[in-house]
Amino acid sequence: MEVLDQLEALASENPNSAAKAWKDDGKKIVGYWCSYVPQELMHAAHVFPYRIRGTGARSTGRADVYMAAVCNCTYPRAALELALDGTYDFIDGMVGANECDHGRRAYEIWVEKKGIPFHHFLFVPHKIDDSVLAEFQKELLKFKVHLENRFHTFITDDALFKSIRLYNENRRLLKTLQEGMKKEQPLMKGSELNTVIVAGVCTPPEQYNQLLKQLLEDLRHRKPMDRPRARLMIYGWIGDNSGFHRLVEDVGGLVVADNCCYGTRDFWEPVETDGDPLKGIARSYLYRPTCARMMGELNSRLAYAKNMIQEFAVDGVLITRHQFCDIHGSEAFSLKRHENEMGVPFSAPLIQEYLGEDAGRLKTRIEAFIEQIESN
Amino acid sequence: MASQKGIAFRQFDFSRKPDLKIDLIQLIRKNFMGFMDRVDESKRWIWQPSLDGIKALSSAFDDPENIVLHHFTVAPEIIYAMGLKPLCLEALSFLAPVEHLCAYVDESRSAYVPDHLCSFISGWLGMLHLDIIPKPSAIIHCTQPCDNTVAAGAILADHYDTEMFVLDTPYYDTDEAHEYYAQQIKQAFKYLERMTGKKLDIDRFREVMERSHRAYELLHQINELKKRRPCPIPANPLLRQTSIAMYGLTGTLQLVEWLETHLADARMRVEKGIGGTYEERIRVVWNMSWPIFDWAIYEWMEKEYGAISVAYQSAEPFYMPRDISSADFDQLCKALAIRNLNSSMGRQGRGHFEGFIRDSVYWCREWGADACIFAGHLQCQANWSAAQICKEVLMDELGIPTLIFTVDQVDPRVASQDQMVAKLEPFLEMVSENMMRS
Repeated sequence: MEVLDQLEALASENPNSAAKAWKDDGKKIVGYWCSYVPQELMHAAHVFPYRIRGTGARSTGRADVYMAAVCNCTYPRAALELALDGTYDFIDGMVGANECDHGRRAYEIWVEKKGIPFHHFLFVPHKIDDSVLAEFQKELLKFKVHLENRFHTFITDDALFKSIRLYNENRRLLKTLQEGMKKEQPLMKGSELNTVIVAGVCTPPEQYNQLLKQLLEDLRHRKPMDRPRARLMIYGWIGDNSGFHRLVEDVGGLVVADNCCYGTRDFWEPVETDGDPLKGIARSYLYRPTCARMMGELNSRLAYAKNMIQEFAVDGVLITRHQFCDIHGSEAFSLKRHENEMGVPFSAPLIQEYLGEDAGRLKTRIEAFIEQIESN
Repeated sequence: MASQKGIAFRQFDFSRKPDLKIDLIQLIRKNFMGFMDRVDESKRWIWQPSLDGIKALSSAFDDPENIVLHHFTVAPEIIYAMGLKPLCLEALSFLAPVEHLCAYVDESRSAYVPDHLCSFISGWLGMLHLDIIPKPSAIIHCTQPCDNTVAAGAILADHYDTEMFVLDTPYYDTDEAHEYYAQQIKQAFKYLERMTGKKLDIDRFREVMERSHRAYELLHQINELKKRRPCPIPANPLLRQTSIAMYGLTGTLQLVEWLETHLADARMRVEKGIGGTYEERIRVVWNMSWPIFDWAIYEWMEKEYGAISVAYQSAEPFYMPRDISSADFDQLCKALAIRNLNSSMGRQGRGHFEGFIRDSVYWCREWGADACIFAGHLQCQANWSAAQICKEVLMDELGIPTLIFTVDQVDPRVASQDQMVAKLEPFLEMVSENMMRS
């Protein structure tokens, strides 16, 4: 399918054709580290929000000088490598956040050692309640003012609502695609859907929505997939590519649901469209399905996972993380503790390296998990 | 290698798994008292914070109705002000015998706690998994200094199936950020009132804060004396005890009394012009962790190189006391917020790495360091990612070299004493030679 090829290219090239075209038009691109950074605010400031990823990195030698490989995740090291080797010179600014120690330090080192014309750090609270909501709203206001000053624009409520609606449309289309995975024989592979999702973080939303609509249209004429050996859900962190999904498919499984950052969490709920738009963004981003970094929210994450398991007829859950990820790593302790309440087996944690050196080992373990499911 | 130049290193026996479902407090007490029996009577006061800490743990274990579990960078003043008993989880890891602690760490790994989660935390997670820590009446956790803390908090609340209060630590150090944290301290009091049925007594809160402030005043006076040569603080045991004291005992009378003794001892040494046991030739700042499984490593440095440790990250809280004599409740909470956000490790870990670097520069400059050692606790990603830049800054601004190497503060299986010696020896040789040349 041609549209899938286009989305695949957008997801796998860095900078991709959309970024190059945007720059050719003389417009600005701002990189952002974490899905808790609202793209709507940047879009309303007429800049292209482009998620910082490690796509294209082959090694991490320069980054390792500053981010010790002995304890730091390869993903931010790969992104930092691309900054230090000049790959990311096309971005005009960057927004960091305290998503995790690895990510925030990579952002800081980037600013210190490479420099960048515009940089902003967004403090994202680690818990959710009304007092914290007010704090996050204040943080977003500071971010908005900084964007306005730097890019000589004024972000009106109308512009912000327009951006919110645009991204909500993007979320709605992605959710429609995701819901297609409920079918016994879906029209897409899990790896394809994941690639589509990743493309969304590095494509202007207007262009992306057109591609999603085209994809939904084209899928109507597609032959369903074969019935998989096992319908699986991924819970944790897998990074910004579909390599893990493909490993699952290589051994006959199919990823039909997830609780991941580059996954459903980011688009499952729309941003509010009434009242104060900044407050709506703050509330929607904080109260959406949470990342494991949010303390006191384990029960809500378990409920989200259980709902996914039931709605998507999941046979088993693959617990995943990158090496050195404490936040997702420790979630496994609690997930295994609650496994019996979830109705399906959970794998032992599957630990990945971002640059994919361990594909063979992972494939063996995924296949063993599928065999375990089949034998039950 | 069992010894280096006449200094005997500890031997550990990891060949068999110790019994872990035990009365941990009794084991800690027995282990510590065995150690104290070997300490010269004139020096026993140095270890008083550990002894007070063990007594506090024991009292808490015996009175679960009044226990409040807390992370070591949560200000215990909050709990003391409520008339409740703090039980610092990391203190259990710190005080447990090394072989036992390592076995608790292993126990946590068997329950899917990742092997890169801080061993201080993994130790108590292993204890938690074996159900040897009594269920508390409340839990106060926080989000500083690192992801390890955040990760462990979720497990903690889930294990006890109870509500936990989280102090969300800000990234910035602005007045607005302090106010955000102060508001949460107020909420923490309400949470404790709800969970325990006790009421906050403002007079007790003020008294606790006055003691806390007095402790910081004394610490500043002690730190001023550190500038003298030779350093009048007999190095490693006192730094370590300062760390324990300033984390766990702030707000207590015991801490004030101990710091008064500490200051008097330092003044006496200044007057007499004496330092520690060995002649001071090199002044060293440990700007990150300090392995605790064998004190002999520091004695070896002192004896062999005259390398005296004048600062260690976890013994260097930065809070500047202010006048709170007429402070109202809001002002007391604000003062406590600022105090808490400046606790050791929290201050350097929660925000931009510049905080870690400026503190390292301050310690090295103020206390006349000749060398800096970044003994990187394997699981401290936030500080590890500041190490190289800090090394560059220390050389550029102060001409001080930095040694960076990997350790685990509590687990000698990661880097043994001999492996540490192998890193320290050439570095200290180089520093000595450079100093002689200059």
